[in-house]
Amino acid sequence: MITITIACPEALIADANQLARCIGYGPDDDQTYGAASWQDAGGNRYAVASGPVGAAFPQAAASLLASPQWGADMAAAARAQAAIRIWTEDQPITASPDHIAVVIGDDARAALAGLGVTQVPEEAEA
Amino acid sequence: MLGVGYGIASPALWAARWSPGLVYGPSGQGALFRANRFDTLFQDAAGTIPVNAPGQPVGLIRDLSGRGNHASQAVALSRPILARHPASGLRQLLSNSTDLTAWGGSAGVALHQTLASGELVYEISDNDSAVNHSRSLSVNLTSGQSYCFSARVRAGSAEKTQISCQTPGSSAGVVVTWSGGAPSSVVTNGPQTGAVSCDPDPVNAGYYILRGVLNAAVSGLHTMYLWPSAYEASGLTTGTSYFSSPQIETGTVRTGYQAATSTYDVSEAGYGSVWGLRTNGINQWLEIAAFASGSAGRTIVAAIRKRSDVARGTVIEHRPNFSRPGGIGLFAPAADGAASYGVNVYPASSGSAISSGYPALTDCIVTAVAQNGSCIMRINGAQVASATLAGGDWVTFNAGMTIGARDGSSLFGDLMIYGLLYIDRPLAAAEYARAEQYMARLAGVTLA
Repeated sequence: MITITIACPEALIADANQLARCIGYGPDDDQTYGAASWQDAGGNRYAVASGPVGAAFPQAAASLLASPQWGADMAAAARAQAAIRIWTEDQPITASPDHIAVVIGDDARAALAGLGVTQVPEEAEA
Repeated sequence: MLGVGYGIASPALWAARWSPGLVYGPSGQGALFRANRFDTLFQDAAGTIPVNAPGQPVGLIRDLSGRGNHASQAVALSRPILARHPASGLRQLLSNSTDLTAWGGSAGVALHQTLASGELVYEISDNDSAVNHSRSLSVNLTSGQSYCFSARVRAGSAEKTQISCQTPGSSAGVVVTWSGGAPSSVVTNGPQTGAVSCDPDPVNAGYYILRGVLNAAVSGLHTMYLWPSAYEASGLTTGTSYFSSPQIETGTVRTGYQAATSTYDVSEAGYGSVWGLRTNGINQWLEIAAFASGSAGRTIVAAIRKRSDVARGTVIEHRPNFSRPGGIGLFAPAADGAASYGVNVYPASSGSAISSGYPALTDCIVTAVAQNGSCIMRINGAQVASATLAGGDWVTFNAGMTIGARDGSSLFGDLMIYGLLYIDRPLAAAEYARAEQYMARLAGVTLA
């Protein structure tokens, strides 16, 4: 398995969740991206997810999408797929509102630091 | 037949057979989890794919209390990961110290030999006289903390061998330069000064241990570099050097080498492993379906490693949060940026919070015991905080619980969870002391 860390722009969360539903393991994977509680230096918000996937994930994520047996919004999934950018040493990327940034690597915290996003501080409890 | 002194009431026999499952009795409600009970772990939420190796996701962990309050996660990427580290404690901060071909950088790298200890030695080469090349790996470090970075080296054809730890894109960092041979030939010549050393490897002839100490000036991503040739522009050389067993750890001393094949799998020669569920403080958590907690009080005993103090993190909490009549939550840390643990309780009509300072990157047994009128928190077997509860007597509460996040949507905990016990009554002192001893064994922690 490999670990991927993803920063999804707030405006693409719904589409990205359909992509996760499409290439994930079950219908519940459409809850992969939650609140946009991370931000870049410009204040743009992102939902972040990180976890283990099969080694074939990068290739699968870039392949022609097939509708899963539990159904998915394929148009939304395709929009999200088109917005994916994968960080490489030769072509490093940072998080941006116009793409879904993916880093492959064990250290999720290091990945997020490299993408230039930080957690939005929680509001103080009443 | 049992002999005199070993009857049913014998403390010695009871001690030998004591299990935290006993505290639930016939009517107690709660849950009990142990990460080292692989027979209770499954990769999927349905419980069809067993977990049997570090690095695998945990979609279901079965409750050992006998109450059936299993914890699960339906979303694949949100599942915690099974991890292990040496019982001596986790010191290695590199996520991969065993396979230098997987490090970044453009220097040539090839496996050279395997030492008798099993440690792998790599030949790293730089044949470019115009630009220096290295192998490198990133690691998150914290401002104000000293870090020892080190590696075993052997001279090859390169005139100089270097290791360094630096902040990418800036000049901050310490460079250790070794000219081969005598330990006295090691110097620090980086933009930042720091202690350096070179000691002969007492086991492997011809090898030396290079060490540098970085006092991190900023928090965030740093990089450890292995250079087969000189770093400075004035000293460009080419050639090869041999490296193995890199390590970064807090403090100024290189301790026993811990081999990290991944961030989830760290081992050390001569020590057994302790196992835990890693939640990443980003999106990983587990949920327990709603069950009825009674009105006697609450106890949580958690064996955890708090991996960060950056943001408030949930260990376990009632849904949607503790702030409902009958609710409780345990947090690590208790507030953003606080080096602490904290407990929040809401017996009936108002909430109370207690917390106590304790820094990250330590394994701890944290206990919260709440009864009518009072609540205490203990860390590693000693009481560290208490509060008088003014919110009335405890009431029954029918709610689910989450582990590793608040309601699955915020306060994600950056944790290693070795074991976790929750019960809907205040354990007596003798009971929680035994539960703490039990949890301490799971985490390799020595109690006060």
